[in-house]
Formats: sequence, C-alpha cells, structure tokens
Amino acid sequence: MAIAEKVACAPQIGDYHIIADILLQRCLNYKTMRCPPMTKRTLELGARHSPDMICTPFKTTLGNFIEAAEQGANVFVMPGVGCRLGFYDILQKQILDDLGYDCEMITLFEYIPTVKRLYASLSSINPDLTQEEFDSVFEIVVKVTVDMDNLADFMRRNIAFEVNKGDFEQCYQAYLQEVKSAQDVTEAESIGEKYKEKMESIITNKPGKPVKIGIIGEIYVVVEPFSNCNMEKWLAEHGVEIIRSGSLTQMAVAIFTVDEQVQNSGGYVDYNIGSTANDAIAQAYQMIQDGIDGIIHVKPASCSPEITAMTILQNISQDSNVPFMYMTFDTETSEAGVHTRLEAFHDMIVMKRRSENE
Amino acid sequence: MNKAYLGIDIGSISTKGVVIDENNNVLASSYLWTSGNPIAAVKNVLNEISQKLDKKYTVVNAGTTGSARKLIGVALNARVVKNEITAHAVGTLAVVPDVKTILEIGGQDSKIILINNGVVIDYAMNTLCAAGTGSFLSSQAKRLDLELEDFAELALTSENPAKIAARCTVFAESDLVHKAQIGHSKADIVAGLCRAIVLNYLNNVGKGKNIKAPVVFQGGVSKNAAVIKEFEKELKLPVYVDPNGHLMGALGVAVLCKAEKEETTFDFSITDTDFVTKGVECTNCPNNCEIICVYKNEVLLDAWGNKCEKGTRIA
Repeated sequence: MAIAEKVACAPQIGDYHIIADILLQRCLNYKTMRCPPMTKRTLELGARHSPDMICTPFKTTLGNFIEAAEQGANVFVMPGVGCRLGFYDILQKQILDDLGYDCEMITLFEYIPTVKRLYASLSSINPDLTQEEFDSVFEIVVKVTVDMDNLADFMRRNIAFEVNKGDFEQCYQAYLQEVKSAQDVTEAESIGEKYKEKMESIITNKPGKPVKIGIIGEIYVVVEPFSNCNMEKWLAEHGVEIIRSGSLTQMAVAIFTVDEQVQNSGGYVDYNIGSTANDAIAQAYQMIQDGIDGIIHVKPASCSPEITAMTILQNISQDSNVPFMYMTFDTETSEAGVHTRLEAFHDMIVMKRRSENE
Repeated sequence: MNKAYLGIDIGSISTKGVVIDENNNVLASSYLWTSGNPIAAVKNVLNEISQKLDKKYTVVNAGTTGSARKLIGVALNARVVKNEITAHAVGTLAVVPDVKTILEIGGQDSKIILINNGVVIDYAMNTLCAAGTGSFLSSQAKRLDLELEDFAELALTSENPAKIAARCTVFAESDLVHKAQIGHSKADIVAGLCRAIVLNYLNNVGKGKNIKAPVVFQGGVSKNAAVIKEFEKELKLPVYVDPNGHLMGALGVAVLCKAEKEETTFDFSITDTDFVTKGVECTNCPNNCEIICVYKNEVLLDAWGNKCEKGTRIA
C-alpha cells in the first residue's frame, strides 16, 4: 500500500501563517500548505463537529483543519500550551479521526513553552534536523515575529490617518511577501528595516490628539479579524488610533514575565491569577497611564482566563473613569451588532472629549 | 416657516416616530408595531405623523435609529443614521437633563447607560444572550396564557414571589414550569419572573456599573409596573419612567438632526413611493455574504452586506 505524502498545515491566526510557513517548511521533511482562508463555511464545519460549549477558537481552528484535510493536508500543527488551548490538539485529533481523516497531529510544546521543547518536538518528526539548523531557523522566526508585530503596531496607530487609502496595508503585505523567503536572520533584519523606513514615510494627516482606543483580551480573537468581525477595520475607518495589546511577541514575552505583570498592575493583582489574565490587567493599567480614551476587551465565549480578568478590569475602569467595553464572540457572523456597539462607544468618547474641551 | 425635525426609531418589535420643534417640544408622534415589515411600519408611522403635524411646520431634517436604521435611512434619505445607544442617551438627556443612569430593556436587547454632567461616560449592552429582554417576558406570558398587559397587574398582587433562576432564559423556563407544577400560584410565578428579569439585567448588563440616581428606566419592559417595583427594591433608588419613554430613541435622533448644519426638506409624500428590498446570497466564495438591495420605484437605490469586492457585481 502506498503511503500518502505528508502535508502539514497550521491553523489561520491573523497573518501569522508567515511564521508557520517559515518554521514548518524549513524544519520538517513534509510538504506544507496553508489552510483555505476562513469563511462562514469554516466556522459552520468547525462548530458542527465541536462540543457546543467549548471556546470559539477550538471551533474555528477545527474548521481550518477540516477544510485543509479536504484539500489534502494530513498533518496538523497545534501549540499544545496555555489554557484550554493546551488540550485542543488531543481533542481535535480525536474528532478528525472520527470523521475519517487519516491524519497526524504535531504538538509543538506539550505544556512546556521552551525553545528546547520546540526543537525536541520538531526533531522527533524530522530526525535530520540538527540543532544548528533549527537554531538558525528559530532566529529568523523570532526576528520576523518581532518585526511584523512592530510594523503592525505602527500601522494600527496610523492607518486611520493615511492620505492615500491602502498605503499601509499594501506596505505591510509587501513586507510579509518579501520576508518569508529570507534565508538568514541578517536578511530578515534588513528587509524589516527597509519596510520600517517605508512605512514611516507614508504620508498621514494625524491630528494632535486623535481618539485613542485600546484593544485587549484573549489573543486569538484579538489577532484574528474573522473572529472579531473586523473590529480594527471599523475603528480605523472612523479615525481612531488603535493601540492593541495582543501579539505573538507579546504573548511569548508574557509567558516569562508573570511576576512583572503582577507588579505592573497598579496593585489590582496580588498574585498570579493564571494564564493571560495577568497580562490583560497589566496592559490595561499601562494603557490608562499612557492616556487612553477607552478600552475594548474581547474574548471568545466561555474563555475562563479573560472572565477572571474582567472582574478586576471593572474596578480599574471605575477608579480611572476610563470606559471599558466587553465583547464576547462566538460563532455569529453578523457584523451589525458589533458595529452598533463600536459606534456607540466611539460616540461616547467623542462627546466626552468635546465636553472636556468646553 | 417653522422648522421641525423628524426622528424614527425602527426596533425589532415596534416603530416609533417623533417630530420636534427647535425647543425639543414634541409636535407629533406615532408608535406602531413593526410586525416584521419595517418599511410598511415606517410608512404607517409617517402617515400618522403627517396627519397630526400642524401644517405651519416644515420638517427640515430626518434621522433614523434602531435595528432597521440603515435600511430606512437609505429609503428616506435620512441625514442622521445613529445607533440606538447614542440616540437613547441624547433623547433622555433632552427630557431629564440631570439623568445619571439609563436602564433600557427592549424587545431583543437590553442596555445600561451611565451619564455624568450630561455626558455618557460608560455603557454596556447584552451580547450573545437575550435573557432578560422583553421577548423573554412575552414568551413566558404566552406560556402562562396571560396577556402581557395583565402580567404586571397580576405580579403586583403577589406577596411571595417564587424564586426563578435568572441566569439563562432556557433554565428560567424549565424552572418556571417546575414551580407551576409543584403548585406555586400564577401570581407568585409571574412576580418571580419580573424579579428574575431585574436580577438577570443587573447581573449581566449592569454588572460592575455604579448605578446612581436619577435613574430613568425605558424600553418596552418599562411599561411593566412590577418590573419597576423590583428595580426600585433591588437598587434602593427611585426609578423614573417617563410617559414618553418609548419615544426616547426617536427623540434622540431628532435632536441630533437639529445639530446638523445642512438641511434637506423632508417630503411626506415618500409614503407613496414604492420600496422593494431583496436579500441575495453571494455565491462567489463560501462566505455566502447576504447582500441587501434596496429598490426605489424599481431603481436600485443602494446595496450592502458584501465583505469583499466579489459581491459588488451581484447587486
């Protein structure tokens, strides 16, 4: 019997497929593919085959895998670390098996978020992968992640004010396109620098004190526009400077800096309250110190770390007089309700500003 | 010429219209069921208003709010199309200038708006879950074979409201059936439901919010005296319900219209115009965007709903 060719695929998480491409293509002896772009069908497939009460990212990523499997993918990649996310791989593998897809699941970390663990996981699949080879790929991965997150941060703060619509997005996409074939970290770095300059030279007409709205919360829903009904796009179209906490870089840092987060939370947290909740609180506190007008907290339905954070965020909101809006996303795809709430939140901030200036 | 401003609030259950003069005085108003046909409802509201309105007034701007605000905004060529949260805040402030908290329970959603010195400082709206909204009460009234109008009266006669789980509509309903079967009186159950809706609202929408007097309660459910009583008991604050509470959203957009610099005279003969809407599903990708096309006298007026360029051809 012929053995099917192995084709590996990671789920869609914002623009991070670039990172998955670099890591998997260069470290595995498998072919790789991207899952088809997320659509309503992805969501429906994922939801149909998932436990109803599970967090939303489980459903969307399972939908990604099913659609990829239909197109020939048979090796799926999950981090296997974090909150319930740490168990997604096991259950998703079971569901895919039950659906009759003959597939393999690669768990990158298995509860231990270290580089050593990542190498162990990858080299157990590809025994030819030497430590040196892995190190050089990992160096590129880190560089590209940090660069793309920095570029996207800059973009979010300025995109609402670009003079030629589309300049920022075009520049950012061009960076992603070019950097994915960088051969070593030096090349990745110089591509990053080139695009940093390019992006900084885009003409904007940013006012002196634009409305600033912060976005915090569960990373998947923050990062994946399909899952948050394109919130950032709406805000940018309405002239808002967006300050987002939530990126792969930040999450990686957050894993190792829990003590600092507790310290930087203005006394609202006394000890580690688990997973990403510490970070959400520390970030919100910091945004308020830096003069934010309002903060939107997003989470998938039933996300326990963020539900823990919410109760404390409510205290921070009351003490600081900075309004917070809490949004829960599940498998709904109608943007109307989200836009209604965003518009009201934005109106409120604009009116508040106006009255303060009078 | 005396200037007047028209605001229309097209909600899921009812459609409200109001015309105000330059001092926010209500000149004419109308309140009708939407009955699943927002365009027909708006035409009826406009007919009623144009009959009531003194002919010396000219409507110089029109605005829409509520869940069908976009559709009706396009059809009427409205100058202001505003979300219902902002509209309610502006409308209520016009009537109760010192209001600090607005509680709102409508047919499909509920919200809380906190105001300080006439400025909205915080708000919340239910997401995902419709427990604790008007449609919950009306479906339970049906189950108990009661007219919604008699609901409050019966509830007020109860001295010992039954405890009904308030967290979720589905659980509340099973709880309600259970209480009925073990023998609680209808009055106690109905009173329990009114209490459940208040607790649910305060636990979900009002969670963590600092509710201060003056408190104004509005939306369809504010017509229910038993719910008002439960709110007062729970908040330990007087709760004010304006007789025009149901018009606040419409009033709010009318006030916003007044602030607009440009004016377009509104022609009530628009009720004779034929509007047709059509929902088309785009089949160019598996997103299957729902595209809404609005035709005025058989000419395409506007279309929306597509998430990418692929859909534009369909309309």
